[in-house]
Parts: sequence; structure tokens; C-alpha cells
Amino acid sequence: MRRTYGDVVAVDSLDLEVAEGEVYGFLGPNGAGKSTAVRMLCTLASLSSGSAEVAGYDVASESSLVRLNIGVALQDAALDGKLTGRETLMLQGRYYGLERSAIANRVQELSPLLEMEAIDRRVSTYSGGMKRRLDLAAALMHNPEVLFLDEPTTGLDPISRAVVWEQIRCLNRDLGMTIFLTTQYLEEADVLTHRVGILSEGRLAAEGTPDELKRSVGSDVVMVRVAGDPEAAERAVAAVPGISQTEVYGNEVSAATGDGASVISPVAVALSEAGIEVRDLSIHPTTLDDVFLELTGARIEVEE
Amino acid sequence: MSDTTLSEPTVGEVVRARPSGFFGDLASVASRALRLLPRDLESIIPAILVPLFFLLVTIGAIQNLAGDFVSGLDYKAFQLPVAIMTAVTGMSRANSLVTDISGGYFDRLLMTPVNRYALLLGLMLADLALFIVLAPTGWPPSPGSIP
Repeated sequence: MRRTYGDVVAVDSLDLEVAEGEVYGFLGPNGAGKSTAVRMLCTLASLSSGSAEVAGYDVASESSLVRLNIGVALQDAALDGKLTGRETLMLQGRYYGLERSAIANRVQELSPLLEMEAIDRRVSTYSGGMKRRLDLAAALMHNPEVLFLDEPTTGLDPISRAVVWEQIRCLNRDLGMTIFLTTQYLEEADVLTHRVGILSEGRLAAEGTPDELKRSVGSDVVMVRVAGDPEAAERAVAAVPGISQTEVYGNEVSAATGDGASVISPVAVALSEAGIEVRDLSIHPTTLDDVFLELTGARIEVEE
Repeated sequence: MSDTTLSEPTVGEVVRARPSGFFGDLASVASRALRLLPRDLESIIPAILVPLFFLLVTIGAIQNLAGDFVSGLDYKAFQLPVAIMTAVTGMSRANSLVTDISGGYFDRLLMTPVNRYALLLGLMLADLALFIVLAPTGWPPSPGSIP
């Protein structure tokens, strides 16, 4: 899949597959091509070259079948301020050929997402968070097989974000909906997605489960603060199998390891056998932030 | 907003999207356009006032002259449809299409299975309906109906 705007290559030879019932996350800095990729998959932008299939249909030649089976909430809520919330949803239902009674049912089913007391007010009076949630509800009206969310929680307050997260999880778990989302928040990808693709300059820089990606960058760090001799503590910790590297800063010993959770108790045992008084013992797991910086930061260095 | 989660669709009544057909799409697009018309007063009022103003001005200024050039010409009967056309053009939903595109709602429409032609023809249908409603206000063109 490739998309160019004039001389600008927005998405370059992107090749990916998302399994049915999976939550797939696209991570990348601004301008990495996330939104362009989503727009291509939603039939809003044509492919400059290559091909893509969504829900089993080709986006170029069977675009109307793709459109029937997807629901999309874009980055900027695609709403008309002059319509009320209810009208937005009813029209959305009619576009997908739903019966009047089915539309009323769906509005009821989607009510947890909406603020029902405001549903008959015009959308232009809604707050940003209410608009985003109405937009999501509109995308869900026809119960799509595949849901595309372009930065679903950007600009939401923490409570709205939690509501949206819960809904996304619930849609995937209970209805088996395949969800493709993009985000700038690594925490969001970590919490919600089964698999993550990191996009940088229109290319897939890395792909895998959040845990795999974290492991690929390396290491959890086990920190020990001791009362006694840190050198002795370091010797004790370094002898534990699974510890790859140790360092001493003042009275703290830091030890790098592939899997912090599995070495923490051997470390504790080794320290107590060596008779070292431990003040503090903690694991600092790798976060997706580290992965992200490693992958996108490394690329910047190559260019310079 | 509440903290309950989305209920699963009732079994046997799972909502499935289907194409609503060209005429269904046309009706959806046109009904939205007409429904929004009265909410768009800031664009409607000038669109009515301007042709009305020019109707009165041109009739007052040219009516007597026009009779001298073409005998038997009822200038008011000629000028009234012009005014109606101008009013309909001014109120045309073409403006709302521009608003939709710049406001992002058109993206949502493009992602629905709505027929591509219906997206535009629906707006024209709304304009046609508007014209049919406005036209009888000047029909039959009786010379006495306008000062």
C-alpha cells in the first residue's frame, strides 16, 4: 500500500494484516502517515499503488461493500453542528438502510456513550468530548464488522477517555468487533490493543504485541537500594541468573534483565543470603515509550 | 453518560447494514437538506430580501420603458420568475455542501454506502422542492398582484 501526495510520500510500502476480532493499534508521531493509512482503508483516499482488503472486500473495486461493513470515527469529529444528536444518529441509520424501529433500538443500545439529556440539542452546543462520543456512536449505528478509530481519545478528559476505552474493550470482547485504531498515547496502545504497529515516515518500523515490542527494546531494570556495602550487593545481584548487567550509583544497584518479574524474587533471596539490608527493591518495566523513542529516535540519528 | 457498558444487540434482532437503494439514499440526503433549511436563517433572509428588492426596483424603473419597446409585454410577469429563480439560487443547498465539506460531515457521508450520485442529486432534489413551493406565490402572474 502506498500513497503519495505530489512528491510527498505519505505512506510507503505499508504491508500489514489484521486478524478478525483483533484490536490493532497504529502508533506514530505526527505526520507518520497514520491518518492517511486509515483514510485509504476507509475508502476516503485512493491508493497510489498497491492494494488493500477490508472485511474481505477490495477497497478500490468493492468500495461500497467495504463501506457497508466498516464504521469510522475520524480524528476530527465528522458532525454537522446544525443537526441534533438524535437526528445525526437517525440519518446515520438511514444511510445504512436501517428500519425506523431498528434505529430507535440502536440509539437506546448506544445510550451509555451518549448524554441522553443533550441528545435533542444541536451538535454545535456540544463540548468536544460529547462530540467525540456522538461521533463514535454514529460510527457504531449499523453495528459494523470493522471499526476504524483515528485517535479516538485525543482531546478527551480522563473520564471521557475511560468511558471510550471501556466501550472499545467491550465492543471487542462481547461483539467480537475488529478494531483498528491509531493513537499517539502509548499507554492507550498498551491497554487496549492486542497488536501494535509503529509507523515512522510512512513505513512500518516495528510490529508485534506490546509485550514483544517492549522485550525487543530490551530490558526491565531492577533497582535495589541497600543500607550496607553496595559493591557486595552488586556481586550478589550479578550472580542471579537472568541478570545481564549491573551498575552501582551511590547506595543503589541497578540490574538490567529481560524479564523483571521473574528475577525479582531470586534477587531478593540472593540479597538476604548475602546478609545485605535492603531499603528498597523495585522493578522498572520497559514501557512502550522506550520502544517508541528507540525506533523513531534511531531514525532521526540515521538522517543526521 | 453512565458507567454501564453497551448492551449486546438482542438476539434475533442483530442490526445489519444493507444498501438502502438509490431512492432511499436520495430521500435521506434531500430530507436532511430540507430539514436544515429553516435552521439556516442567516443565509435565507438575504437570499429572499435581495431578489425582492431588485424585483421592486426593476419594475419601478423599467416597467414603463419595457412597454414602449415590446407592445403587450407584461414586464412584471417576466420579472417575477427571475426573482424566484434568484431567490432559489441564493437559498440553494450548494452552500450547505460547501459547509459540509469544510466542516468534515461530508467525509462521514463519503464513508457511508450512500450512492455517490445521490449525495449531489439529493441536494438538487431539495432545491427543486423549494422551487415548487415558492413558484405558486407568483402564479398565475396577475398584473395586480405586485405594486
